[in-house]
Amino acid sequence: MYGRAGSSTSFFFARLGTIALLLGCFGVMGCEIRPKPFLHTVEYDSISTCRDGSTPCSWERSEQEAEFSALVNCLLAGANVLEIQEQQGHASPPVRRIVAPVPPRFGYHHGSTILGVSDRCSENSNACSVSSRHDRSLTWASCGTRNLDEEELKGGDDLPQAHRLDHTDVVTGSLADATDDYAGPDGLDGPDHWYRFTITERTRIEVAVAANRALWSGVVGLVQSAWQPALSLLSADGTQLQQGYVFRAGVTALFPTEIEPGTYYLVVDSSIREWKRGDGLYRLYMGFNRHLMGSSLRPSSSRIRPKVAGVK
Amino acid sequence: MHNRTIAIHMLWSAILLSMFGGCYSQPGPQRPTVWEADDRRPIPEPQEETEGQWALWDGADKMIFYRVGQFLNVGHSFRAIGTWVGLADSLEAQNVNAFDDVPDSTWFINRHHVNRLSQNALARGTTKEQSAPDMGGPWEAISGKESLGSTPGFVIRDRKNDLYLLKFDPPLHPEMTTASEVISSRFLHAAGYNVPEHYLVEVDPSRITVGEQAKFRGRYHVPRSMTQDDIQAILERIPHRPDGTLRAMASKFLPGIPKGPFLYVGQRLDDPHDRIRHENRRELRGFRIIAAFLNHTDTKAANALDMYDPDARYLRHYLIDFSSTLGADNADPQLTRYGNEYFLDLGAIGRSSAEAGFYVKPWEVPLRMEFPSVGYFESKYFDPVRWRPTYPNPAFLRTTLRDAYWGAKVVTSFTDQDIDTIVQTGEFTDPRAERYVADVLKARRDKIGRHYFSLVNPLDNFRLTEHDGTNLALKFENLAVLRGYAPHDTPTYRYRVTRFVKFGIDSEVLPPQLVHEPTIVIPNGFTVVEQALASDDVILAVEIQTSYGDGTRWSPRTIVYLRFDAKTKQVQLAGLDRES
Repeated sequence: MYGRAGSSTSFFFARLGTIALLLGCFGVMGCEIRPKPFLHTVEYDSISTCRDGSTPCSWERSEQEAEFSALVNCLLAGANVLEIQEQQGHASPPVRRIVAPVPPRFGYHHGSTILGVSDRCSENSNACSVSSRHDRSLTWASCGTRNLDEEELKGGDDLPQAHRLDHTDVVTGSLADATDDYAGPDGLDGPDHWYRFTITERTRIEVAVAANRALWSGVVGLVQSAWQPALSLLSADGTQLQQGYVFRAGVTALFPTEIEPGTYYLVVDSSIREWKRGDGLYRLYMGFNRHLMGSSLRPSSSRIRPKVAGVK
Repeated sequence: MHNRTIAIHMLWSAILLSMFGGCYSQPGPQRPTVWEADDRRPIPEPQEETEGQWALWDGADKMIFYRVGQFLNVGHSFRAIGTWVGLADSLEAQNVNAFDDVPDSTWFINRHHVNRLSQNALARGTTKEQSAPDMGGPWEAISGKESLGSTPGFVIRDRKNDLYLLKFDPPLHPEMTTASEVISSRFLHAAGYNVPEHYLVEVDPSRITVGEQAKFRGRYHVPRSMTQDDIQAILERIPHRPDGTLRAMASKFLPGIPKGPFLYVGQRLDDPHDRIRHENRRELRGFRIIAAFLNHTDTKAANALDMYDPDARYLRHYLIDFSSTLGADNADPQLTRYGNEYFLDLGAIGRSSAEAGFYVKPWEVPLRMEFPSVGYFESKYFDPVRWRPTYPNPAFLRTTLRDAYWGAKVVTSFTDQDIDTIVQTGEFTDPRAERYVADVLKARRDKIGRHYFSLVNPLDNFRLTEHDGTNLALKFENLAVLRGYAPHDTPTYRYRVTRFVKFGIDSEVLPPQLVHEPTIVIPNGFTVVEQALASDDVILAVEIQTSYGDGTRWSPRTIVYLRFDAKTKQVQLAGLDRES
């Protein structure tokens, strides 16, 4: 059976009470429904692998995979590090924090017959799956934060010093003290960071950058959404191949795409106007042959739009 | 004793018939053959409607008191029972013409499903090049609220002195709300409804200045003077682009004097043109199907608006605010239960309680949101019959199969290309999101078409032509075949011709015949027909049924009426009815 249990009699009165409470609150507050900018849980495909009948499942590796998947999904979902407005101006400088998934309270469930996955394995093999529940192909993860270790900050100041990425990873960087070196077609005038990667065969890449800090007030709710970084994929000669798009407030992503062997650069960029809204801290997800960001863009995506009266 | 029993039975039958029956629904020939309603004559300026503006009261009323009131309404309840057991017909829409269609009016204008709009016209909707916000000069903010329909926004005046309501996207779902507003407004306009002009604009925050008289309503809705900080506070909360600009939807203020929302029940007493109760208007009942197609869950009265034209001096009726359509529910994505249950659904609560919680609703299965810019919008669990808005809409509750067929006819008039064109106006940055929305809309359209075209015989666009010199040919289109919802493309049609009488038994003029093409030849020289039509007060009814199999199962009848016009000496179409 799938899904939550349906409403039962006990819920009837609970619902009525809640509705009465809601209507009462609305009556007092004048229907003040605010945007809810923070996700506390994300869901993602449970981690599964196929194995031969005699080979044992590698649970440790699968759990690491699940943890990484949870981290990327938290970043992509726009999970925030809240800076509380009422705590600003305190004497001691706050410890910088970054988004991190909270491990499942009761651990991951190990299973070998998860629905849908076993169908993908051959007749002589079984599926090894870690998930939050054995009967679900989706796993939930809670998104929390952890202290930032300043040593882990990455990012090259310019093209020659571009930081090398050689495997699927999430790296942290800060544009707080960076300089503006990239003069791309977007005309962004803020500081930027450079990353380099080299692939030897045709590879599917997924890239996203997330600046997850948001300003929150216990009195008025969301005060400031995360600042929006820019992201560019460049070829070895510096030609811009793809420009990132706004995926969530604070999260800019490239369309998953397959690229030919060669050296490429990623530039995490900013405009002064946006850079000033934040603290410059960002997380960069680079995935090689991963499928955490949906399907690749089809080549036929160039669109001919009919003329529309508009102003853009 | 035996006679007494018969007498008692007859008495009960008479009582039941008088309770269940009734002649609310006129047959086609007795309805007017009008294609344009006469509702544009000058009227005195009406009062502003205020009841529908109280959205919370409206919601509580429609969810609880209206439903309870309906249940306690003996006439309504008995009619519902009578309809269920087959003793009475449903109360049909009262503003349809002889051909069971909606005449053009200040409520609705037949557009795409009658005369196909070009791709450019579909994409343009109500917008005009010269009406778009002026991007050259400053925008003066003149009023604002911390939340406008739950979405932050404010009203600006551009250099042309035009007023626009600016609405933005929520932080976690850039493009979701603005795209839904723009796409749905195009669909509703093409369908025939009056909607405002919606533009997607790129906002440079530095362009916006505060007007001298600008007012702001913050928490608790207490009005005060607006400051630059108020604007800054709103703009800081919404998603930015890397260059610091913002995406917004600008809705141009409607022309005329606002007179409050129109209600989906009752009439506006100070509008002499408003002679049909709103819940009995076909375009409002059929709107249920179009709303289901668009997942327009927020069809409350406050999202409708009457505007009084001070020059022409009549009211025009608009639909406004489409931020709860497609996958968006204002500042959040739609909940999976929206579109499947009311916010407070007494029926669902009762059913769930009776089943002690063992019943798992299909939409309770966890589903992944494919794209943040789309929100929750799907076609897999969508059921056009089960679909419902967030809270009951009186016009939707009265939707009959004929109303639904009309709505399905409108929805299925959008081809794949039409849907692609309109979805493009949402300007999703992610082409995958654009494709997803278009695919879901196509799937929802097909579910609607497949369902309602199987319950009603979807023969339409009837026309009479001469055939072989003397005979008449009644030609028509089978929408199920034409739009790809029929089991196969070569159905069999069975027809017979009778003399139409309102009461009593029709006399058969032509016995049942079978044809395989959507053309029925009526032999004008056939003595009985000739004689029947020779009298100008005689109406002939051509009853047509469709079978897609071996002729053992036949669809309900579509009845086309023919009348002899003494002036032109020609036989003309006189009306149409659909058995449901």
